[in-house]
Amino acid sequence: MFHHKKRIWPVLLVAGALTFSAACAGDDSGSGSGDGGDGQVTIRFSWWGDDSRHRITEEAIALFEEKNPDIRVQGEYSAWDSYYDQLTTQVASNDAPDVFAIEIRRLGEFARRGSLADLGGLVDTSDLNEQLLPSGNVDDVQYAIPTGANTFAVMLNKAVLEDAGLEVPDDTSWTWEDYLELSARIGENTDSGVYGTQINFNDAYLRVFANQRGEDFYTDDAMGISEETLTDWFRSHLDLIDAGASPDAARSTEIGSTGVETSLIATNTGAMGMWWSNQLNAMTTGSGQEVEVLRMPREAGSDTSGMFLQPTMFWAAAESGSHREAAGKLIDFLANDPDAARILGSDRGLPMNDAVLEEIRDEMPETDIASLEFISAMEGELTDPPRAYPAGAGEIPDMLQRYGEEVIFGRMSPEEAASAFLNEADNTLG
Amino acid sequence: MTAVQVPPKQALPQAVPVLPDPEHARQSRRKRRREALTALAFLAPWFVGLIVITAGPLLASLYLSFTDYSLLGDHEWVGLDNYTRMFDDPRFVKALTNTAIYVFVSVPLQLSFALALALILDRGVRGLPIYRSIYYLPSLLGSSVAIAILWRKVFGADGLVNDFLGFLGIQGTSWVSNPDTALGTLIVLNVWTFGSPMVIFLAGLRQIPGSYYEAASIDGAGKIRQFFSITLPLLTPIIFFNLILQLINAFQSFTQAYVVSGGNGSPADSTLFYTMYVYERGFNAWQMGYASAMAWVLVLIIASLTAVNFLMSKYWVFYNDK
Repeated sequence: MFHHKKRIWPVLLVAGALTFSAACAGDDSGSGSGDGGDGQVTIRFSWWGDDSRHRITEEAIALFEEKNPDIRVQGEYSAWDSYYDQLTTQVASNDAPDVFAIEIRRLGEFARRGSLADLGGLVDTSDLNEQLLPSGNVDDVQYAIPTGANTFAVMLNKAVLEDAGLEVPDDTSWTWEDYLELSARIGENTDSGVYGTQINFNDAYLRVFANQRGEDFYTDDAMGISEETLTDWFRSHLDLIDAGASPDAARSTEIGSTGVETSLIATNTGAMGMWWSNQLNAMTTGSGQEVEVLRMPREAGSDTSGMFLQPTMFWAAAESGSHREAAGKLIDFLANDPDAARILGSDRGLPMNDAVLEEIRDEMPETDIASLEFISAMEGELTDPPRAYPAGAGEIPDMLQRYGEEVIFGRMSPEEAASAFLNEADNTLG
Repeated sequence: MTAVQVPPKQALPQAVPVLPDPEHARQSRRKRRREALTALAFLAPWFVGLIVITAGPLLASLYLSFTDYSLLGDHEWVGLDNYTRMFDDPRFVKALTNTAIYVFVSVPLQLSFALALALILDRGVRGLPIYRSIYYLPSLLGSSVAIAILWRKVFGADGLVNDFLGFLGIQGTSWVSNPDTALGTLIVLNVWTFGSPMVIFLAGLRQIPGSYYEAASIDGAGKIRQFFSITLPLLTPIIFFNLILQLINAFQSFTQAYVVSGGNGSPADSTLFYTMYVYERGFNAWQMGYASAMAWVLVLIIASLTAVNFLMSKYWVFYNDK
């Protein structure tokens, strides 16, 4: 048997050589951004979302290719859950897509680690909303272009409210106490299984809550929220459950972790909830009822609504991409072309190019016009959009939910949760 | 994957005795060499896979576990920091506890179920292949995303379980979303996938010679006595095999908890499994160095548990062929 062993090496060598050449070949074609034979370039474009988003984005890509015959766009889309895992791995292995969608929670981290290309000069930003644009700016470089505008607000299912025999509140003056009281009364006046509102651990809610008290969510490298505010915020959820305004802790957790389709409003089992304004369409479709957008309630005596304009997502280009000009053209097309806006609608937020918005306004569906009118009516009340978050901010939403659950299940008091959260968050950020 | 090592019924035909003719010897040597080369060529894809896909990343992760690698950007050598950090990380302790409870509750239950069912089916039930297939099915599906989603529905507030309880007049909760019961639903899910150990038990039961039982019943041993004195001792190697396999599997479970909890161990970290925490630290928090260290600690835990099992096996596993 012994002399057979020696024969392993030629085989291994051949196998190794094969793998090596396969790997090299993969490098040539695998990155997908090579030049075509006829002077064409191919760029890769990556986003997350559901089927309807994939469909319209593909449609927009087809139009872009028609208008730019020398550029081919290869779409790579995935579901939200796996999007960042995939994107981060690609960026880490220098195989990032040329253009990709990203949101504010990760923008700062990607930009500061040198993974994003400077879009200055590549994309025409002259017609883009001046209040929104700076949110894509990190350390004075325009790394990202907002895809659209959004705001976090209360939504109201009118049919459920009418069933409860109650009237739409005046949202210019209502307080958190009014909100709790109204929610509790809706719960009392309706059948069991129908509630006033649903628990919401979205960090946007906390941001509004804190802004009303004059506190910022983040400082440059830490949490800006005081322990007292956080304690009150955690307690507000407990109060809703105790008052019967929201489902019990377990049911709330089940609903809260699954999104729009199972929300109380969309299933007609609750009157209110806090959502992003671009989710109005999904809520209306889901419930089959008229859904109204309301301002967030206020801290009694506060002089600000605390509400803010939010960049729904951003378009960014990879620093490692070799076809930056083509990437810039694609982003420019997505942000500034009226035909692109016609196809994409408000799926990634209301278009932020004022000229484009004016041109397509009449063709927009009713729910888009409703949220557009809501945002327009709030002009002056909405504070500037948040700037890129400190490193580690990507972990904060899950952390908030975790401590929120500790509170509503009675495993921690609001005070304990607030202090433990701030401790863990400050260790994470930086 | 889970095939049993069944000793061949007949010995393989012996090789033809080599004649002392030198020419013939050279020829047969050349032939054997060629055969060995062919075998190696066929093995090559597997070797390459092992080296490129398994061994390479394995060594890389060992190196990374001593660095502060974050997926993006540079990394620096941090020595044992990642390893010592685990002791001060309450979520690490939580993940380890959750996983330990899951493993040490669900595996014994799962194996008992599997054995009980194998015993019943071994009684010569008519249509055995059909039953075997039906009970095996959950094993094939158990770790899939689809079943995990189904589990969410079945144990949800408006799920089947509560419908049934409501029928009995009991008010249920949302089992998957309650921190006191969420881990329990995952344990039930794992127990439910008793099919694959069951099939192995069935094969093991078939190997016990019927003459033993005949002799025992002639000596006046009842069914229960027969089970404890014949079936169980002769089945211990199979039990041992199943135990090792299921322990290792259970320690590494990921999909079910990931889907049932929505990917973050919700509610309140009660379903945060070890592997999920590794994944979260690596891909969500971008602490790939720390995640690699945790992965290696898991390897050590599983390896030492398996080693202890093998050492203990001397005292309870009985090999009939000795």
